[in-house]
Amino acid sequence: MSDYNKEQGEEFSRNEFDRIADEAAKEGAYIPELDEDEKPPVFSSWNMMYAFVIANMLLMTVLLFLITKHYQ
Amino acid sequence: MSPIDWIVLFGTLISIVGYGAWKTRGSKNLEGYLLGNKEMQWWTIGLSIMATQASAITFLSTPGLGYESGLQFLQFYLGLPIAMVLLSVTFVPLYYKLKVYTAYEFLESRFDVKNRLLAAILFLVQRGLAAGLTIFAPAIILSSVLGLNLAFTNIMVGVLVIIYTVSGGTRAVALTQKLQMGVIMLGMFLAFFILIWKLPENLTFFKAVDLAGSMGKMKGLDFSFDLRDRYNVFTAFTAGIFLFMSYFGTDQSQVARYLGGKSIKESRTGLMFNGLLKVPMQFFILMIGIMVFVFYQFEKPPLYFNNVAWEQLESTEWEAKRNLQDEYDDVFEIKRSAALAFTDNPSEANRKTLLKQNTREKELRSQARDLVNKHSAKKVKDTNYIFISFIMKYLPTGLVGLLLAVIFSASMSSTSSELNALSSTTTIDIYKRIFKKDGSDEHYLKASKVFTLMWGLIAISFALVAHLADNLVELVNIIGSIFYGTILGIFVVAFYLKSISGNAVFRAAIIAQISVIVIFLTVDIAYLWLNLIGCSIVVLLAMLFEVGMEKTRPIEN
Repeated sequence: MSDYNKEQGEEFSRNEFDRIADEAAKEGAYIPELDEDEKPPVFSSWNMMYAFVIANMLLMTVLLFLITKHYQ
Repeated sequence: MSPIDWIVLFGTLISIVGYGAWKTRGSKNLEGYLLGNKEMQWWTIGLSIMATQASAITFLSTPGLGYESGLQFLQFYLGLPIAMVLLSVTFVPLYYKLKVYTAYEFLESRFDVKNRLLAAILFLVQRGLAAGLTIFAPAIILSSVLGLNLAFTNIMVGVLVIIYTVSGGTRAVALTQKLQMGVIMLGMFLAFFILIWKLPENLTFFKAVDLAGSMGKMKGLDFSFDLRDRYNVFTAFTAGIFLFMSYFGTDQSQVARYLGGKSIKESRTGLMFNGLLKVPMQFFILMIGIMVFVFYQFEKPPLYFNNVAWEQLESTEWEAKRNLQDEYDDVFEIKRSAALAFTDNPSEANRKTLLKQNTREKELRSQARDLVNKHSAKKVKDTNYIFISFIMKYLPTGLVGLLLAVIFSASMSSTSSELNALSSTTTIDIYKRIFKKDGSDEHYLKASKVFTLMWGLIAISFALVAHLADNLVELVNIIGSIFYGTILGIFVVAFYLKSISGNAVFRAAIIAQISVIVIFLTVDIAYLWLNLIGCSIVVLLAMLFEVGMEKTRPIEN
């Protein structure tokens, strides 16, 4: 686990990855911590973008509901 | 079909294949071949994801579903945006962090090699079968309509795909998919506008929608809860989310699309692109089917859309066939008058007459179907022929060829992703991990190309011997649902339940897979639920096994 943290943020080869992964597998559970990402296009944060996608889905569901009601 | 249509069809297909193969020729390393050198931008990823999911069956079957049951099928996709967000938050960062080639590599670093192999083998089995169906399903319809030999159609599609997928790998898949999506959208938009233009003069688009709505085609949401029903709101937001999580998060044919992103930002945005556009795209395709339905209220459709099967009915059935046809002609004339009356005056009385005649027409179609099925070994649903029958009869010369290119392009785009994913999983998770651990990059690159070719030939062979029953679009989803739940369960445990070990999840996965197959064979339940059932069994049993193992484990210093 500690080996992975040392390497975090740096480029490392696939052999290095294999070695770290093997060690981690021996230790049992292994979930690396996440880095901060680049910002998404248009939106100020990823949460904003996710909210927009979910809101869009809700809007389509409501529209579909209204269409269904209208023609019932 | 006119020579111009043949030129447009083959010109479009050969241009796309040639461009894809030439532009991406000579991949020099494994990363370039399997991950497209990680240089893809979000719109390429988004289009590639959409093109992979939208097979030819989507463009043959979905308008037919719109014609038959209106907007109901749209509910199936409502959970997709939620799945895209969940994947973007959890799965994508981890895949990037671990620099994996395939989704299953992650399972070895989290658990052990046996879990990785189990998930990879389950994927290879289900996707290997699906790849054959992806080629066969449209081929059986197109060969019948175009009068082509079925085996020739299967082999033609398979070989064209193999050419550029073997040559250019992931980059060729993504590049051709961009062009194929362009052809697909152009063709579908043109078909839609011509359809509207061909409606009777006094029937505007909104009046056409009103007519469809009055005949029950605009019912988009169904709130009734029934485990046997695939398309209702509850299924969409529970089992549907699990299906899409499995498909986009653990199926290598999709994972490979976003692993080729230039950065994590591009991959996530590609997924969001799909989350935003998938539902509107399906709505649009269903609306085409609904407009075909409206068009056929005024223009007489065939009693049975699969004209070849109808014409080939044996002579012993000729009298029954003629009687059905005569009655159908009478019913259609009354129905057309009722539709015209309703357009001028949308009263309840006119609507009731229209619905009554529509019901009678459906009964006659059902009798025609029974008559054909009595004598036919290949029972392909007649809904699959509705849109192609309209294309062949009513679209102008040139556009028929373009629309056929749309369908072939969709078939090729899905198949190429599947072959690419089958090859990368075989190379990375099986060959490199088990058989040859110390090969050079060049060696694995060659192996990947050989495996792509091998899976292409397997898919063509399977397509050549496949004899399908019932609805083609569902068969692919059913095969997926049987395996996806278990694979997703393994990934859910890997991502969210840190204390569970490899042995516990492996045993749970084996039991879950057997249980899902038994449930599928013995219980009358909509196949979408198999995803949720498989995933839940893996998670619950893995927790139980882990608790059991902890109790029996000796205390360590």
